[in-house]
Amino acid sequence: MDFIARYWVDYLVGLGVGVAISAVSMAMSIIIGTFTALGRRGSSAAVRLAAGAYVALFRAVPPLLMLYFVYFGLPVWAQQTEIPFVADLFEPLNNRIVAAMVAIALTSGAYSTEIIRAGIEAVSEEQVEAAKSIGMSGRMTFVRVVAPQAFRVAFPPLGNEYVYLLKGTSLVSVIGVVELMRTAQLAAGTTFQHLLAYSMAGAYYIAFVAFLQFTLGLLEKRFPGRQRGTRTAGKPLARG
Amino acid sequence: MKMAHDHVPVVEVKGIEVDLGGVRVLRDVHLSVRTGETIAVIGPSGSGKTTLLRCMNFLVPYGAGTISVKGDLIGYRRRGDNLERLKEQEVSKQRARIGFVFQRYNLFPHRTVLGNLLEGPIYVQKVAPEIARKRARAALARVGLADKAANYPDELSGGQQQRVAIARALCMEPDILLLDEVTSALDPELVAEVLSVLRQLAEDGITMIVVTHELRFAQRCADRVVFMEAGRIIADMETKEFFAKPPSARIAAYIADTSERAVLTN
Repeated sequence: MDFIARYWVDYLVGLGVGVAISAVSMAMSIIIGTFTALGRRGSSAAVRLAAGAYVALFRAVPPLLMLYFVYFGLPVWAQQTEIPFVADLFEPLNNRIVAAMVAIALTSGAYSTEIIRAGIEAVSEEQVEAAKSIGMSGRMTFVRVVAPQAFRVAFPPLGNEYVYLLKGTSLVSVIGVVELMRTAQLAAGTTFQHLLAYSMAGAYYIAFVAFLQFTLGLLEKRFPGRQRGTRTAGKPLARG
Repeated sequence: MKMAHDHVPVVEVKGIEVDLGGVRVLRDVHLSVRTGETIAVIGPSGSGKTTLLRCMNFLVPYGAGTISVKGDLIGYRRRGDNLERLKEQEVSKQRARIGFVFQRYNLFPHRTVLGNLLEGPIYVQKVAPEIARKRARAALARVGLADKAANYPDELSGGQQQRVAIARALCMEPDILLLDEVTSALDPELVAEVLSVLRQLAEDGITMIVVTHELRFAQRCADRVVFMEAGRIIADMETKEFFAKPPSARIAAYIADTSERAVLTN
Protein backbone atom coordinates (compact mmCIF):
# COMPACT_ATOMS: atom_id res chain seq x y z
CA MET A 1 0.00 0.00 0.00
CA ASP A 2 1.05 3.59 -0.62
CA PHE A 3 0.87 4.41 3.02
CA ILE A 4 3.30 1.69 3.98
CA ALA A 5 5.68 2.54 1.14
CA ARG A 6 5.54 6.23 2.05
CA TYR A 7 6.00 5.87 5.79
CA TRP A 8 7.85 2.66 6.64
CA VAL A 9 11.21 4.40 6.84
CA ASP A 10 9.86 7.24 8.98
CA TYR A 11 8.36 4.65 11.30
CA LEU A 12 11.67 2.86 11.52
CA VAL A 13 13.42 6.10 12.40
CA GLY A 14 10.73 6.81 14.98
CA LEU A 15 11.26 3.37 16.49
CA GLY A 16 14.98 4.03 16.53
CA VAL A 17 14.50 7.27 18.44
CA GLY A 18 12.26 5.53 20.94
CA VAL A 19 14.72 2.68 21.42
CA ALA A 20 17.60 5.09 21.84
CA ILE A 21 15.73 7.09 24.46
CA SER A 22 14.71 3.91 26.25
CA ALA A 23 18.25 2.53 26.22
CA VAL A 24 19.76 5.63 27.77
CA SER A 25 16.91 5.94 30.26
CA MET A 26 17.26 2.30 31.27
CA ALA A 27 20.98 2.67 31.83
CA MET A 28 20.33 5.70 34.03
CA SER A 29 17.51 3.85 35.76
CA ILE A 30 19.81 0.96 36.66
CA ILE A 31 22.48 3.30 37.97
CA ILE A 32 19.94 5.19 40.06
CA GLY A 33 18.46 1.87 41.17
CA THR A 34 21.79 0.43 42.28
CA PHE A 35 22.79 3.43 44.35
CA THR A 36 19.35 3.86 45.85
CA ALA A 37 19.12 0.15 46.67
CA LEU A 38 22.45 0.34 48.47
CA GLY A 39 21.22 3.48 50.16
CA ARG A 40 18.10 1.72 51.41
CA ARG A 41 20.28 -0.95 52.96
CA GLY A 42 22.97 1.38 54.20
CA SER A 43 24.08 2.27 57.70
CA SER A 44 23.01 5.92 57.65
CA ALA A 45 19.41 6.43 58.74
CA ALA A 46 19.22 9.70 56.83
CA VAL A 47 20.26 8.02 53.59
CA ARG A 48 17.86 5.16 54.18
CA LEU A 49 15.04 7.63 54.70
CA ALA A 50 15.90 9.65 51.62
CA ALA A 51 16.13 6.54 49.46
CA GLY A 52 12.83 5.22 50.78
CA ALA A 53 11.18 8.57 50.13
CA TYR A 54 12.45 8.62 46.57
CA VAL A 55 10.99 5.19 45.88
CA ALA A 56 7.64 5.97 47.48
CA LEU A 57 7.25 9.29 45.70
CA PHE A 58 8.35 8.29 42.26
CA ARG A 59 6.31 5.13 42.18
CA ALA A 60 3.23 7.16 43.06
CA VAL A 61 3.52 9.81 40.36
CA PRO A 62 2.22 9.00 36.85
CA PRO A 63 4.99 9.07 34.23
CA LEU A 64 3.10 11.64 32.18
CA LEU A 65 2.96 14.01 35.10
CA MET A 66 6.67 13.49 35.68
CA LEU A 67 7.30 14.31 32.02
CA TYR A 68 5.35 17.60 32.18
CA PHE A 69 7.03 18.46 35.47
CA VAL A 70 10.51 17.91 34.10
CA TYR A 71 9.99 19.48 30.68
CA PHE A 72 7.58 22.30 31.35
CA GLY A 73 7.93 22.88 35.04
CA LEU A 74 11.60 22.68 35.97
CA PRO A 75 13.40 24.77 33.35
CA VAL A 76 11.00 27.69 33.70
CA TRP A 77 11.17 27.60 37.49
CA ALA A 78 14.99 27.42 37.32
CA GLN A 79 15.03 30.52 35.13
CA GLN A 80 12.76 32.36 37.52
CA THR A 81 15.01 31.77 40.54
CA GLU A 82 17.51 34.05 38.80
CA ILE A 83 20.35 32.08 40.41
CA PRO A 84 22.82 31.42 37.58
CA PHE A 85 23.97 28.07 38.96
CA VAL A 86 20.41 26.75 39.20
CA ALA A 87 19.40 28.12 35.80
CA ASP A 88 22.47 26.53 34.19
CA LEU A 89 21.92 23.23 35.94
CA PHE A 90 18.40 22.83 34.64
CA GLU A 91 18.98 24.40 31.24
CA PRO A 92 19.46 21.09 29.39
CA LEU A 93 15.93 20.14 30.34
CA ASN A 94 14.74 22.57 27.72
CA ASN A 95 15.75 19.93 25.23
CA ARG A 96 12.82 17.56 24.66
CA ILE A 97 14.91 14.43 24.42
CA VAL A 98 17.00 15.18 27.47
CA ALA A 99 13.87 16.00 29.45
CA ALA A 100 12.27 12.78 28.23
CA MET A 101 15.26 10.67 29.29
CA VAL A 102 15.48 12.28 32.70
CA ALA A 103 11.78 11.95 33.43
CA ILE A 104 11.65 8.32 32.35
CA ALA A 105 14.87 7.44 34.18
CA LEU A 106 13.63 8.99 37.42
CA THR A 107 10.33 7.14 37.32
CA SER A 108 11.81 3.83 36.28
CA GLY A 109 14.63 4.21 38.79
CA ALA A 110 12.17 3.82 41.61
CA TYR A 111 11.08 0.43 40.27
CA SER A 112 14.63 -0.62 39.46
CA THR A 113 15.61 0.17 43.02
CA GLU A 114 13.19 -2.38 44.38
CA ILE A 115 14.17 -4.99 41.81
CA ILE A 116 17.87 -4.58 42.55
CA ARG A 117 17.27 -4.49 46.29
CA ALA A 118 15.39 -7.77 46.05
CA GLY A 119 18.28 -9.19 44.06
CA ILE A 120 20.80 -8.16 46.70
CA GLU A 121 18.65 -9.52 49.51
CA ALA A 122 18.28 -12.81 47.67
CA VAL A 123 21.98 -13.46 48.14
CA SER A 124 22.24 -15.38 51.37
CA GLU A 125 24.14 -14.01 54.35
CA GLU A 126 26.18 -17.22 54.27
CA GLN A 127 27.82 -16.04 51.06
CA VAL A 128 28.88 -12.85 52.80
CA GLU A 129 30.28 -14.90 55.70
CA ALA A 130 32.21 -17.11 53.31
CA ALA A 131 33.70 -14.04 51.64
CA LYS A 132 34.57 -12.54 55.02
CA SER A 133 36.16 -15.79 56.13
CA ILE A 134 38.74 -15.57 53.36
CA GLY A 135 39.51 -12.00 54.32
CA MET A 136 37.47 -10.06 51.77
CA SER A 137 36.61 -6.50 52.70
CA GLY A 138 33.01 -5.30 52.61
CA ARG A 139 33.47 -3.67 49.23
CA MET A 140 35.22 -6.65 47.66
CA THR A 141 32.54 -8.93 49.03
CA PHE A 142 29.87 -6.83 47.36
CA VAL A 143 31.66 -6.55 44.03
CA ARG A 144 32.94 -10.11 43.70
CA VAL A 145 30.39 -12.19 45.57
CA VAL A 146 27.08 -10.38 46.15
CA ALA A 147 26.69 -8.31 42.99
CA PRO A 148 27.23 -11.16 40.49
CA GLN A 149 24.65 -13.27 42.28
CA ALA A 150 22.25 -10.37 42.79
CA PHE A 151 22.52 -9.56 39.10
CA ARG A 152 21.44 -13.06 38.14
CA VAL A 153 18.33 -12.74 40.27
CA ALA A 154 17.53 -9.20 39.14
CA PHE A 155 18.13 -9.75 35.44
CA PRO A 156 14.74 -11.17 34.39
CA PRO A 157 12.67 -8.53 36.24
CA LEU A 158 14.96 -5.79 34.97
CA GLY A 159 14.36 -7.10 31.47
CA ASN A 160 10.63 -6.76 32.08
CA GLU A 161 11.12 -3.27 33.41
CA TYR A 162 12.89 -2.40 30.19
CA VAL A 163 9.94 -3.56 28.11
CA TYR A 164 7.61 -1.35 30.20
CA LEU A 165 10.01 1.50 29.80
CA LEU A 166 10.18 1.05 26.06
CA LYS A 167 6.43 1.20 25.77
CA GLY A 168 6.50 4.19 28.10
CA THR A 169 8.56 6.14 25.59
CA SER A 170 5.39 6.48 23.56
CA LEU A 171 4.38 9.09 26.15
CA VAL A 172 7.13 11.46 25.13
CA SER A 173 5.20 12.07 21.95
CA VAL A 174 3.16 14.56 23.96
CA ILE A 175 6.09 16.88 24.38
CA GLY A 176 6.79 16.67 20.70
CA VAL A 177 9.56 14.11 20.47
CA VAL A 178 9.22 12.46 17.10
CA GLU A 179 9.44 8.82 18.08
CA LEU A 180 7.25 6.05 16.75
CA MET A 181 4.00 7.18 18.37
CA ARG A 182 4.35 10.77 17.19
CA THR A 183 5.32 9.63 13.72
CA ALA A 184 2.13 7.58 13.57
CA GLN A 185 0.10 10.57 14.77
CA LEU A 186 1.60 12.81 12.13
CA ALA A 187 1.07 10.24 9.41
CA ALA A 188 -2.54 9.72 10.52
CA GLY A 189 -3.15 13.46 10.62
CA THR A 190 -1.75 13.92 7.13
CA THR A 191 -3.40 10.98 5.42
CA PHE A 192 -6.49 10.53 7.58
CA GLN A 193 -5.77 6.78 7.51
CA HIS A 194 -5.88 6.51 11.27
CA LEU A 195 -6.48 2.79 11.58
CA LEU A 196 -3.66 1.93 9.24
CA ALA A 197 -1.29 4.43 10.79
CA TYR A 198 -1.76 3.12 14.32
CA SER A 199 -1.89 -0.54 13.28
CA MET A 200 1.43 -0.15 11.60
CA ALA A 201 2.90 1.49 14.68
CA GLY A 202 1.52 -1.38 16.72
CA ALA A 203 3.16 -3.85 14.38
CA TYR A 204 6.53 -2.15 14.80
CA TYR A 205 6.23 -2.23 18.61
CA ILE A 206 5.17 -5.86 18.57
CA ALA A 207 7.99 -6.87 16.29
CA PHE A 208 10.61 -5.07 18.31
CA VAL A 209 9.38 -6.32 21.68
CA ALA A 210 9.25 -9.86 20.32
CA PHE A 211 12.85 -9.53 19.22
CA LEU A 212 13.74 -8.08 22.63
CA GLN A 213 12.03 -10.91 24.52
CA PHE A 214 13.88 -13.43 22.40
CA THR A 215 17.24 -11.78 23.09
CA LEU A 216 16.52 -11.41 26.80
CA GLY A 217 15.53 -15.07 26.89
CA LEU A 218 18.87 -16.09 25.43
CA LEU A 219 20.73 -13.89 27.92
CA GLU A 220 18.69 -15.29 30.80
CA LYS A 221 19.90 -18.74 29.89
CA ARG A 222 23.48 -17.56 30.09
CA PHE A 223 22.86 -16.06 33.54
CA PRO A 224 20.43 -18.42 35.24
CA GLY A 225 18.44 -16.61 37.89
CA ARG A 226 18.89 -19.27 40.47
CA GLN A 227 21.64 -21.78 40.87
CA ARG A 228 20.40 -25.33 41.10
CA GLY A 229 20.43 -26.63 44.63
CA THR A 230 23.00 -29.04 45.92
CA ARG A 231 22.38 -32.73 45.48
CA THR A 232 22.32 -33.61 49.15
CA ALA A 233 18.93 -33.06 50.69
CA GLY A 234 18.99 -30.12 53.07
CA LYS A 235 19.31 -31.60 56.53
CA PRO A 236 18.32 -29.25 59.33
CA LEU A 237 21.34 -27.38 60.65
CA ALA A 238 22.64 -28.71 63.93
CA ARG A 239 22.93 -25.91 66.46
CA GLY A 240 26.33 -25.65 68.12
CA MET B 1 49.17 -37.65 64.29
CA LYS B 2 51.75 -37.13 67.00
CA MET B 3 54.27 -34.54 65.94
CA ALA B 4 56.64 -32.55 68.06
CA HIS B 5 54.40 -29.75 69.16
CA ASP B 6 55.63 -26.25 69.68
CA HIS B 7 54.98 -25.25 73.24
CA VAL B 8 54.07 -21.72 72.24
CA PRO B 9 50.30 -21.59 71.87
CA VAL B 10 49.13 -20.66 68.40
CA VAL B 11 45.62 -19.92 69.69
CA GLU B 12 44.99 -18.40 73.09
CA VAL B 13 41.46 -17.81 74.27
CA LYS B 14 41.29 -16.06 77.63
CA GLY B 15 38.15 -15.45 79.57
CA ILE B 16 35.83 -14.53 76.73
CA GLU B 17 32.20 -13.68 77.23
CA VAL B 18 29.69 -13.40 74.43
CA ASP B 19 26.08 -12.23 74.46
CA LEU B 20 23.84 -12.86 71.48
CA GLY B 21 20.30 -11.55 71.39
CA GLY B 22 20.33 -10.91 75.11
CA VAL B 23 21.46 -14.44 75.91
CA ARG B 24 24.86 -15.15 77.39
CA VAL B 25 26.18 -17.69 74.91
CA LEU B 26 29.75 -18.00 76.14
CA ARG B 27 30.96 -17.63 79.70
CA ASP B 28 34.54 -17.29 80.86
CA VAL B 29 35.96 -19.54 78.16
CA HIS B 30 39.65 -20.38 78.26
CA LEU B 31 41.44 -22.43 75.67
CA SER B 32 44.99 -22.84 74.56
CA VAL B 33 46.00 -24.58 71.35
CA ARG B 34 49.55 -25.48 70.35
CA THR B 35 50.91 -25.62 66.82
CA GLY B 36 50.02 -28.85 65.08
CA GLU B 37 47.37 -29.86 67.61
CA THR B 38 43.98 -31.13 66.58
CA ILE B 39 41.29 -30.15 69.06
CA ALA B 40 37.83 -31.67 68.92
CA VAL B 41 35.13 -29.46 70.45
CA ILE B 42 32.08 -31.49 71.36
CA GLY B 43 28.92 -31.05 73.36
CA PRO B 44 25.15 -30.75 73.09
CA SER B 45 23.38 -28.31 70.76
CA GLY B 46 23.32 -24.78 72.05
CA SER B 47 26.46 -25.24 74.12
CA GLY B 48 28.27 -22.41 72.34
CA LYS B 49 30.74 -24.51 70.32
CA THR B 50 29.99 -22.82 67.02
CA THR B 51 29.97 -19.38 68.62
CA LEU B 52 33.40 -20.04 70.11
CA LEU B 53 34.75 -20.97 66.70
CA ARG B 54 33.20 -17.91 65.07
CA CYS B 55 34.74 -15.66 67.68
CA MET B 56 38.17 -16.88 66.68
CA ASN B 57 37.89 -15.24 63.28
CA PHE B 58 35.67 -12.51 64.63
CA LEU B 59 32.62 -13.45 62.59
CA VAL B 60 31.06 -13.01 66.00
CA PRO B 61 32.59 -10.27 68.12
CA TYR B 62 33.38 -11.19 71.70
CA GLY B 63 32.58 -8.84 74.54
CA ALA B 64 35.16 -9.55 77.22
CA GLY B 65 38.46 -11.37 77.36
CA THR B 66 40.90 -11.87 74.51
CA ILE B 67 41.55 -14.21 71.63
CA SER B 68 44.99 -14.29 70.04
CA VAL B 69 46.14 -16.24 67.02
CA LYS B 70 49.93 -16.51 66.72
CA GLY B 71 50.22 -13.67 69.19
CA ASP B 72 47.98 -11.37 67.18
CA LEU B 73 45.02 -10.06 69.18
CA ILE B 74 41.89 -10.76 67.12
CA GLY B 75 39.38 -7.99 66.54
CA TYR B 76 40.95 -5.51 68.93
CA ARG B 77 44.02 -3.40 69.49
CA ARG B 78 45.58 -2.76 72.89
CA ARG B 79 45.42 0.86 73.96
CA GLY B 80 46.98 1.11 77.34
CA ASP B 81 44.67 -0.79 79.63
CA ASN B 82 41.82 -0.87 77.20
CA LEU B 83 40.95 -2.76 74.10
CA GLU B 84 39.95 -0.78 71.05
CA ARG B 85 37.89 -2.39 68.27
CA LEU B 86 39.74 -2.80 65.02
CA LYS B 87 38.28 -1.42 61.80
CA GLU B 88 36.69 -3.93 59.40
CA GLN B 89 39.64 -3.76 56.99
CA GLU B 90 42.08 -4.67 59.76
CA VAL B 91 39.87 -7.55 60.87
CA SER B 92 39.68 -8.74 57.25
CA LYS B 93 43.48 -8.94 57.18
CA GLN B 94 43.39 -11.12 60.30
CA ARG B 95 40.71 -13.36 58.83
CA ALA B 96 42.85 -13.99 55.76
CA ARG B 97 45.24 -15.99 57.97
CA ILE B 98 42.53 -18.05 59.64
CA GLY B 99 40.91 -20.83 57.66
CA PHE B 100 37.20 -21.41 58.27
CA VAL B 101 35.04 -24.19 56.89
CA PHE B 102 31.27 -23.87 57.29
CA GLN B 103 28.67 -26.50 57.97
CA ARG B 104 26.93 -25.70 54.69
CA TYR B 105 30.15 -25.23 52.69
CA ASN B 106 29.06 -21.78 51.38
CA LEU B 107 30.88 -22.14 48.10
CA PHE B 108 30.48 -19.32 45.58
CA PRO B 109 27.91 -20.69 43.09
CA HIS B 110 28.89 -18.30 40.33
CA ARG B 111 32.48 -19.55 40.21
CA THR B 112 33.94 -22.90 39.23
CA VAL B 113 35.68 -25.03 41.82
CA LEU B 114 39.01 -23.59 40.74
CA GLY B 115 37.52 -20.11 40.72
CA ASN B 116 36.37 -20.59 44.30
CA LEU B 117 39.88 -21.51 45.35
CA LEU B 118 41.50 -18.61 43.52
CA GLU B 119 39.37 -15.79 44.91
CA GLY B 120 41.22 -15.51 48.21
CA PRO B 121 44.84 -15.88 47.08
CA ILE B 122 44.53 -13.66 44.01
CA TYR B 123 42.18 -10.92 45.19
CA VAL B 124 42.75 -10.81 48.92
CA GLN B 125 46.34 -11.94 49.29
CA LYS B 126 47.42 -10.44 45.96
CA VAL B 127 49.36 -13.55 45.05
CA ALA B 128 50.45 -13.85 41.42
CA PRO B 129 47.88 -15.85 39.41
CA GLU B 130 50.29 -18.60 38.35
CA ILE B 131 51.37 -19.19 41.92
CA ALA B 132 47.77 -19.09 43.08
CA ARG B 133 46.87 -21.67 40.46
CA LYS B 134 49.65 -23.98 41.65
CA ARG B 135 48.40 -23.63 45.23
CA ALA B 136 44.84 -24.32 44.12
CA ARG B 137 45.73 -27.44 42.17
CA ALA B 138 47.79 -28.73 45.06
CA ALA B 139 44.90 -28.11 47.46
CA LEU B 140 42.46 -29.87 45.14
CA ALA B 141 44.79 -32.85 44.86
CA ARG B 142 45.06 -32.92 48.63
CA VAL B 143 41.29 -33.28 49.01
CA GLY B 144 41.07 -35.74 46.15
CA LEU B 145 39.23 -33.53 43.67
CA ALA B 146 41.89 -32.65 41.10
CA ASP B 147 39.57 -33.65 38.26
CA LYS B 148 36.76 -31.33 39.34
CA ALA B 149 38.53 -28.01 38.87
CA ALA B 150 36.29 -26.88 36.02
CA ASN B 151 33.00 -27.96 37.57
CA TYR B 152 30.52 -25.65 39.23
CA PRO B 153 29.58 -26.31 42.86
CA ASP B 154 26.03 -27.32 42.03
CA GLU B 155 27.36 -30.16 39.92
CA LEU B 156 29.02 -31.79 42.91
CA SER B 157 27.71 -33.87 45.79
CA GLY B 158 27.63 -32.42 49.30
CA GLY B 159 30.74 -34.33 50.32
CA GLN B 160 32.61 -33.04 47.29
CA GLN B 161 31.47 -29.49 47.92
CA GLN B 162 32.65 -29.68 51.50
CA ARG B 163 36.03 -30.95 50.35
CA VAL B 164 36.22 -28.00 47.96
CA ALA B 165 35.40 -25.73 50.88
CA ILE B 166 38.28 -27.27 52.84
CA ALA B 167 40.56 -26.77 49.83
CA ARG B 168 39.43 -23.15 49.59
CA ALA B 169 40.45 -22.57 53.19
CA LEU B 170 43.77 -24.37 52.68
CA CYS B 171 44.59 -22.22 49.65
CA MET B 172 44.94 -19.21 51.92
CA GLU B 173 47.81 -21.03 53.70
CA PRO B 174 46.22 -20.20 57.06
CA ASP B 175 47.88 -20.43 60.46
CA ILE B 176 45.00 -22.52 61.76
CA LEU B 177 41.96 -24.31 60.36
CA LEU B 178 38.57 -23.91 62.02
CA LEU B 179 35.94 -26.48 61.07
CA ASP B 180 32.34 -25.91 62.14
CA GLU B 181 30.40 -29.21 62.14
CA VAL B 182 31.54 -29.79 58.61
CA THR B 183 29.83 -33.16 58.28
CA SER B 184 26.54 -32.36 60.00
CA ALA B 185 24.78 -31.29 56.82
CA LEU B 186 25.92 -34.28 54.82
CA ASP B 187 24.13 -37.49 54.02
CA PRO B 188 25.76 -40.28 56.07
CA GLU B 189 27.41 -41.98 53.06
CA LEU B 190 29.26 -38.77 52.26
CA VAL B 191 30.60 -38.12 55.76
CA ALA B 192 33.47 -40.61 55.50
CA GLU B 193 35.15 -38.93 52.53
CA VAL B 194 35.30 -35.62 54.38
CA LEU B 195 36.51 -37.17 57.63
CA SER B 196 39.28 -38.98 55.80
CA VAL B 197 40.50 -35.65 54.40
CA LEU B 198 40.46 -34.20 57.91
CA ARG B 199 42.35 -37.18 59.27
CA GLN B 200 45.04 -36.67 56.65
CA LEU B 201 45.27 -32.95 57.44
CA ALA B 202 45.65 -33.74 61.14
CA GLU B 203 48.45 -36.17 60.34
CA ASP B 204 50.11 -33.54 58.19
CA GLY B 205 50.37 -31.39 61.30
CA ILE B 206 47.88 -28.65 60.51
CA THR B 207 46.58 -26.91 63.62
CA MET B 208 42.86 -27.65 63.62
CA ILE B 209 39.92 -26.89 65.86
CA VAL B 210 37.06 -29.14 64.88
CA VAL B 211 33.55 -28.66 66.24
CA THR B 212 31.92 -32.00 65.65
CA HIS B 213 29.39 -34.64 66.66
CA GLU B 214 31.54 -37.38 65.13
CA LEU B 215 32.96 -38.90 68.32
CA ARG B 216 34.73 -41.77 66.56
CA PHE B 217 36.57 -39.24 64.44
CA ALA B 218 37.42 -37.22 67.54
CA GLN B 219 38.70 -40.31 69.26
CA ARG B 220 40.91 -41.31 66.33
CA CYS B 221 42.25 -37.96 65.19
CA ALA B 222 42.09 -35.39 67.96
CA ASP B 223 44.95 -34.74 70.37
CA ARG B 224 42.58 -33.17 72.86
CA VAL B 225 38.87 -33.10 73.44
CA VAL B 226 37.06 -30.06 74.76
CA PHE B 227 33.54 -30.62 76.08
CA MET B 228 31.19 -27.63 76.23
CA GLU B 229 27.80 -27.14 77.75
CA ALA B 230 25.69 -24.03 78.32
CA GLY B 231 28.42 -21.72 77.17
CA ARG B 232 31.21 -23.12 79.33
CA ILE B 233 34.07 -25.49 78.80
CA ILE B 234 33.35 -28.33 81.19
CA ALA B 235 36.29 -30.56 80.26
CA ASP B 236 39.56 -30.12 78.36
CA MET B 237 41.56 -33.35 78.27
CA GLU B 238 43.83 -35.59 76.28
CA THR B 239 41.66 -37.69 73.97
CA LYS B 240 42.69 -41.09 75.31
CA GLU B 241 41.92 -40.11 78.89
CA PHE B 242 38.66 -38.42 77.94
CA PHE B 243 37.19 -41.48 76.31
CA ALA B 244 38.76 -44.00 78.67
CA LYS B 245 37.52 -42.24 81.77
CA PRO B 246 34.87 -39.59 81.01
CA PRO B 247 35.19 -36.94 83.74
CA SER B 248 31.51 -36.93 84.72
CA ALA B 249 28.34 -38.97 84.46
CA ARG B 250 26.81 -36.26 82.31
CA ILE B 251 29.65 -36.49 79.84
CA ALA B 252 29.57 -40.26 79.86
CA ALA B 253 25.87 -40.09 79.06
CA TYR B 254 26.51 -37.65 76.22
CA ILE B 255 29.15 -39.94 74.74
CA ALA B 256 26.89 -42.96 74.96
CA ASP B 257 23.95 -41.06 73.52
CA THR B 258 25.86 -39.61 70.58
CA SER B 259 27.60 -42.87 69.71
CA GLU B 260 24.31 -44.72 69.83
CA ARG B 261 22.70 -42.24 67.48
CA ALA B 262 25.62 -42.67 65.11
CA VAL B 263 25.24 -46.43 65.16
CA LEU B 264 21.51 -46.19 64.47
CA THR B 265 21.81 -43.82 61.53
CA ASN B 266 24.69 -45.70 59.96
